[in-house]
Amino acid sequence: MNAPISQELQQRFSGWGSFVAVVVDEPWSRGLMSVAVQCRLGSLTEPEWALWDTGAAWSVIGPDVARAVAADLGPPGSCIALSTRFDRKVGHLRLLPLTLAAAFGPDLSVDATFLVLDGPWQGPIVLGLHGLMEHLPFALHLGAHSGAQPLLALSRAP
Amino acid sequence: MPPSGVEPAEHVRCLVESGRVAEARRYLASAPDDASLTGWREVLAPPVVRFLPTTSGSAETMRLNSLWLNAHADEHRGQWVALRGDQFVDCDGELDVLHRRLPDDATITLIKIPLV
Repeated sequence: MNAPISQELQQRFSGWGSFVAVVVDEPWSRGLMSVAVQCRLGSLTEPEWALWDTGAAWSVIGPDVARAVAADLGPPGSCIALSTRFDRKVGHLRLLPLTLAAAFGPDLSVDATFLVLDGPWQGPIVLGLHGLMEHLPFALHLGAHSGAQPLLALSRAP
Repeated sequence: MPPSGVEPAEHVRCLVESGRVAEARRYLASAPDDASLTGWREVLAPPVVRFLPTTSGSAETMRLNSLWLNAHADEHRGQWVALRGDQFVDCDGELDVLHRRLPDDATITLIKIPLV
């Protein structure tokens, strides 16, 4: 069941294409999932929760996730290191289809670039700047103090 | 241009690793064809964006997932959990192992509970 979107929000984001439901800073995440969205990686049937992290240089997945979507991953490129909240991590940049599951409007599919880590990753799936957000005009409406459903609005414009 | 003696692909790797992604793209745009740069051109290219029919994305699903997570997340720190709404389905430390055990069911959501 899709969440209804208020008339006020429809007017505010008139012309935007998709509205993805957002969960903000739930207690269980202890600050590590400040803004969470639902997405699907590759051809996985089940949607996954991911961290929408405007402070992350790259989208990140761990090796266990990479094994689950192995058939969908592009070939591995050169190895790079990335400084993360869990220390310096090493991996390879690879293309992976990602679908942001909309609560209202069409889903949005992107052939995103992920840093696929070589070693264990303690964190969630991270959606970051390069190879994803930098190509998607978006606006976050967190609904703070208003009680409105927090939403990530995505533009149809390139 | 890469510093003298530095291979083109290594030059791009150094730029990307140091956060100079725009500079890496400018270099790739002007660099001659070189098989070692093919992979870099792919992962640094603007992605294809497509709009698809709405499927299972749901604020209600996330709300129900959150009910379970706020009550039980501490029992599963560092693990992937599979939830159907506010009902626990299964869990594992590794997503690929968990995924193989699950039925093909888009009403199940997978969530990594961060280890803190």
